[in-house]
Amino acid sequence: MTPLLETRRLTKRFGGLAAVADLDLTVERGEVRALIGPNGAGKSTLLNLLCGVTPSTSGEILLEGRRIDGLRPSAVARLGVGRTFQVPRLFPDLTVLQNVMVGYHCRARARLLPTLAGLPGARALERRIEARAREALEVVGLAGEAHRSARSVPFVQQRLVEIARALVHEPALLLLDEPAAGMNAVETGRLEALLASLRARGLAVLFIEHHIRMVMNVADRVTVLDFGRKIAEGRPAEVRGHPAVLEAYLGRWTPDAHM
Amino acid sequence: MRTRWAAWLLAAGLLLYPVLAPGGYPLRIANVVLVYAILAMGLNFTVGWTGQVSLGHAGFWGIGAYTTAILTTKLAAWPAWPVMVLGTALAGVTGLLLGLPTLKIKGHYLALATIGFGEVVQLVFNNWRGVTGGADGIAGIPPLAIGRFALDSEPRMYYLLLGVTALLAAAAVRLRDSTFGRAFMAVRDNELAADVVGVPTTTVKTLAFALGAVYAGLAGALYAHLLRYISPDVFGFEQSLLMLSMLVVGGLGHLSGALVGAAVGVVLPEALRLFGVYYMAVYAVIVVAVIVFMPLGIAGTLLRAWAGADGPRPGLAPLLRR
Repeated sequence: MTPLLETRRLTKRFGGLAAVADLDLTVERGEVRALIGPNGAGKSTLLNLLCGVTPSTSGEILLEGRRIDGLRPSAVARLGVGRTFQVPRLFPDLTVLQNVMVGYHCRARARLLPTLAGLPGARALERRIEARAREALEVVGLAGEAHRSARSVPFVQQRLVEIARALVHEPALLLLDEPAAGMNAVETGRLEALLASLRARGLAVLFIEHHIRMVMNVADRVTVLDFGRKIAEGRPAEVRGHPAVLEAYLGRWTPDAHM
Repeated sequence: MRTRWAAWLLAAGLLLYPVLAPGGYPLRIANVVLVYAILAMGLNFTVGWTGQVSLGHAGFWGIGAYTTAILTTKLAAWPAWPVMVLGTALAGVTGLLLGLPTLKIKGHYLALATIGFGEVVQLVFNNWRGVTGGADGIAGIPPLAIGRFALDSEPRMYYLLLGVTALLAAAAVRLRDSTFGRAFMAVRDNELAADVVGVPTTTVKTLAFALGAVYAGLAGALYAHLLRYISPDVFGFEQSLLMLSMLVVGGLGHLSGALVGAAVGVVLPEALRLFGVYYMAVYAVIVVAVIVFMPLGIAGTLLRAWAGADGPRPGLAPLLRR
């Protein structure tokens, strides 16, 4: 069976610097995969490559066996990839509900003239989109904030709005860039529960995270990047003690250095 | 409840205006306001909702007006209503053709490209003498008629323009509260995020641009039948700028702002004529004062007061971003 997501020798160079180098990565359906590595390891660049924001230099990206590298972000989203950003990027002048409704755009198939004329079909579609968006807000626990202006929502909740906005277009793969950044222990716990519930619904999640506790708690597998290369991969407990990982984070201890 | 009463009062006032207004001149001003209201609503799609600066809106207006003027006077005098549809469609198609290549460029570059478009259109009006009459313009445009009932007076044109404006405003409200409108505003608020969540940004921008051109084309056809005479100097860059200033003064990003802005932008210069030759200077000072002290515009400021600090406030942000 073809994996949900596969990259083959995926490479991104910025001038002489290889931010992602010859990366082979496979994510299965319904898997929660953590992506860790020191700062500058190429984690965010990888996410940008996967969702089409940054064009790759070489290599392939396949979603369910189909090439998606070279597609525009909106086309990648339509094929089933949702993502959030490290610093939330909401539409500040829309309400929370409207933000999430925008996520349904590529599924809506709205037609212009019936919309302008206010025909019943167009109104029914609008109600359906709203219902979907409310469901997604329910999933992330923000049903009560639907009519707030997005700009007035606290930072941590903005990230949850982003997740709802990505969920509403029914992705098969969700890419999250440091979803727990800035969250306290209680909020992180809720986020872990949310990710577990998404996995239960068959969604695959690929997330970048620095909260090691969260990685240990929710990830099925962990991939460790350093200087754009995969240096380790496996179950959280395996990766934790891996010598290459310790070296990447802490450096190599050499007796000579003290002399 | 208060809002509903205010709306009924406003509607009654608008309907009774021809009866209450003293003489033909205030009615002519009202008709011009309505034409500009349609223009401003169209420009609001592009600038206010989608955040793409266009300074060539008068070009689409001119295409609608000239199509009507040329086809109803020269060439065997075609019937007015189909010509109006044709002129509107032609403006829309031009918007589409202009939008596809230019909307891939951003900010100041897009603004310059649209200025260029407006200039080209005006040059054609001025120099294609055989068809457009050159600088002399085109006179003798027939009035519109519904059957035998000729819309040849200011009050009759007023009711037609009022009806068309109301219909177009209703369509704009539906657009705003639909997938399309939300996609426009998503592109304005954060283009990258819009793209990533599945909004095809170039298509959406082109649609906003083309729809704005359709409104402008229709405004042009109506304007030609209202004045019965058009000339190229009316459809120049200053007019595009005036329309943009209407949106800013009224409240960029708000449909009501486009309507308020059109009224202010037409009526205020007329009211300021008591300042003689300096009236445009006084007008400019007032516009600058509004921008400085009410950056959300008149309607934007009122809506903000109504909705509280958390309400929407697009204001000048789309113009200042990037």
